[in-house]
Amino acid sequence: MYLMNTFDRSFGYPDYPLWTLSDLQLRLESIYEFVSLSFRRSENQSYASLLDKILDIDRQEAIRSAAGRESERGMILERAAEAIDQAKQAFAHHEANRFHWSIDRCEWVDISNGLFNHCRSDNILTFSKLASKGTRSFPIIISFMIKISDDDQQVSITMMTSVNGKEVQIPIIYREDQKNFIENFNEKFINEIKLLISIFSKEYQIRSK
Amino acid sequence: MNRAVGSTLRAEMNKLGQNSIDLRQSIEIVQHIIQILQTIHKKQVFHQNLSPDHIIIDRNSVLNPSFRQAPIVLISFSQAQTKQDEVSDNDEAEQSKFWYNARQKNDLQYRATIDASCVCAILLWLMTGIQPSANDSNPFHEQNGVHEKIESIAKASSKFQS
Repeated sequence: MYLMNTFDRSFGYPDYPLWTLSDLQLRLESIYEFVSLSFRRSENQSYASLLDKILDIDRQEAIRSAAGRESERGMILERAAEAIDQAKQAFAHHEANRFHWSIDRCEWVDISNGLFNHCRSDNILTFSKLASKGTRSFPIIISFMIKISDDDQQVSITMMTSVNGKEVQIPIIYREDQKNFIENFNEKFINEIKLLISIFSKEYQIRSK
Repeated sequence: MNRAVGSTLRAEMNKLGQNSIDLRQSIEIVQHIIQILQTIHKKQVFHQNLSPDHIIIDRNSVLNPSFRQAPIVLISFSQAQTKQDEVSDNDEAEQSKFWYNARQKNDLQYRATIDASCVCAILLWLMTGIQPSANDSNPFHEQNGVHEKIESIAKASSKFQS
């Protein structure tokens, strides 16, 4: 199953999404683990113990190290992460705390094959409402994407979600100067996330009819 | 420029016999190739014509080396492209230059994925000994006999560890 699926994506263009080297590397590692003794030994471990070590990782620190702590790019990523974190909290507070983010800290994952000029951070925004039978909640997966120009001078940040198989992408900032891209970020973020939620809601309701 | 030390992957497999390496060893080899490709992709260079003849492996450099440890060098960058290069003509003469003709080769936006597809073609060749067919109306892994071989290798790999 793993192998055939791997080859579907390798040779099945245009019917299957193609492999990037990074994704393929991870898939092959999974297969290798599966057929190796180390995986068999871990079958007796609890799932929780498999993940214990993750909690000890400072992901942001890892990104800063990999991107170059003192590099322009590393510092841009850090400022962007802080701006997004503050904006998330401002939004939740703005909406009388009816919205809750699953992950407080924005943690970037590099999707540019080690260049760190295109990164992604995933989160879940949950909307809650008190109803007669208890609290009702609805989660929306929201991803933040940052793109830094090759010369590290311009920054674009986008938020996106998927609904009914469609991808909704809303730019928060577009090719802003890296020196001042976080100016008025909260306000921009709140405006754009409301638009994202509005589009999501309309599209979701269309499908539900 | 130094000459790459070792023999081609094809020569190495001919020496060992095609079914002499298992799935894990096949994956070790291609993982090593992927690491090298990631380095050159960072420089926006894409090989585009990986084949068992364009991979040099040196298994004599360490005592009883695993495939993970054996040094590997990629050669023959004559078909390599950068991000800015235009798509080549797709005529028969052009196709014949390539060991594996990726289906997405004429789609500029997927240029960076061609090496990944070639890596999988090499993995499939290592596993089965079957060369990619020139006729790509059917994906490589679904061609006659290939699918069955993949299934039997997958089953054999699972049984080995149980």
